[in-house]
Amino acid sequence: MGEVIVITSGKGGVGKTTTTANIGCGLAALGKKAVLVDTDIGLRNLDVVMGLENRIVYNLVDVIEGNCRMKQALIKDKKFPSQLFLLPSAQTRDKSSVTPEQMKKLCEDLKEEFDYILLDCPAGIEQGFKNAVAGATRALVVTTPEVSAIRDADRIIGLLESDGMRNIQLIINRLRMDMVKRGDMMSVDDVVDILAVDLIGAVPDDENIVIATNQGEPLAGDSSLAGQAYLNICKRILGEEVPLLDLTEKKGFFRRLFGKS
Amino acid sequence: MFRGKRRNTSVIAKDRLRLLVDAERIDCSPGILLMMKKDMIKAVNKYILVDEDKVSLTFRAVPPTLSATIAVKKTPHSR
Repeated sequence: MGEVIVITSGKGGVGKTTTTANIGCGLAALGKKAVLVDTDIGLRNLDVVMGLENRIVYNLVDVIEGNCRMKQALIKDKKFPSQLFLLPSAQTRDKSSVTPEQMKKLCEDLKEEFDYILLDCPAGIEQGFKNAVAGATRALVVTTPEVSAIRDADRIIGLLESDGMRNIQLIINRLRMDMVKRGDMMSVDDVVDILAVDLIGAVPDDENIVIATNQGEPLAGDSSLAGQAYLNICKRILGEEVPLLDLTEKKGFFRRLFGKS
Repeated sequence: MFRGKRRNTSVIAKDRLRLLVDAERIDCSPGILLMMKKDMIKAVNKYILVDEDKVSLTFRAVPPTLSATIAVKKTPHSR
């Protein structure tokens, strides 16, 4: 039986979708079978981040309404075709086309097939959030080290707790160690101190993420700092104890020599 | 260097957040929480001298508790 994990944040634009894609990719690289479910009905994005947008025929609402079988709607990943799948969201429908009960049922069905079901949650705290959270037993809350994002993360954590979610873990995204050192960005410890939840990983602000997203290829597991950070998060999801990565960017010999940053 | 001393902005951010998050956890506005803090300082100050910069309010959800840490100033007579 698989585990259902929702990736959420409250605030938009903090990197939920990128995080979902990279965790899925990392879990697949570690030999697990995972499915990514885009629950943002009306504003789908996960397909593009995964580079699978041209393969969509059916979507989540089609499965729920019985217009197709689950197997027909699942899209195989390019890099891990036997390990990683995407269930895309519907673009031309709205959030009210799905109920929390239907989402729960969908998750139950997927649990039979997959080790991990990752739900990419829409921003906000309305219907879409309630749908996404309904079937999950673990939540990963993504935030950036900014006042607005952390405040929203705190709200989301409160809502999840009152909803009975026991397993809530925090991902701090887009850290810039140079700014933390200067005292112009809150550190991992500062954020954890405010939110008082378990940390499962911190991801540096890395231009490789933009480059990877441009190409529609998640970078979890590659040699970039962000790729390593994502892979570490995946290992921690599997229960391994991995020390926190040193996010200080190490400049290579040639880069140092020629002064390029 | 010539701009004079600027407070670390991360400290400003953390202070703002702490107030905001505490206020929202007990479902009241940050302004009201600040007023309450001022009133508490005033009340305690009648009896003991309070170190006003070192007063903090924290909120815990289970069990729902508001606790205040109020630093007092050392007087020549205090040990």
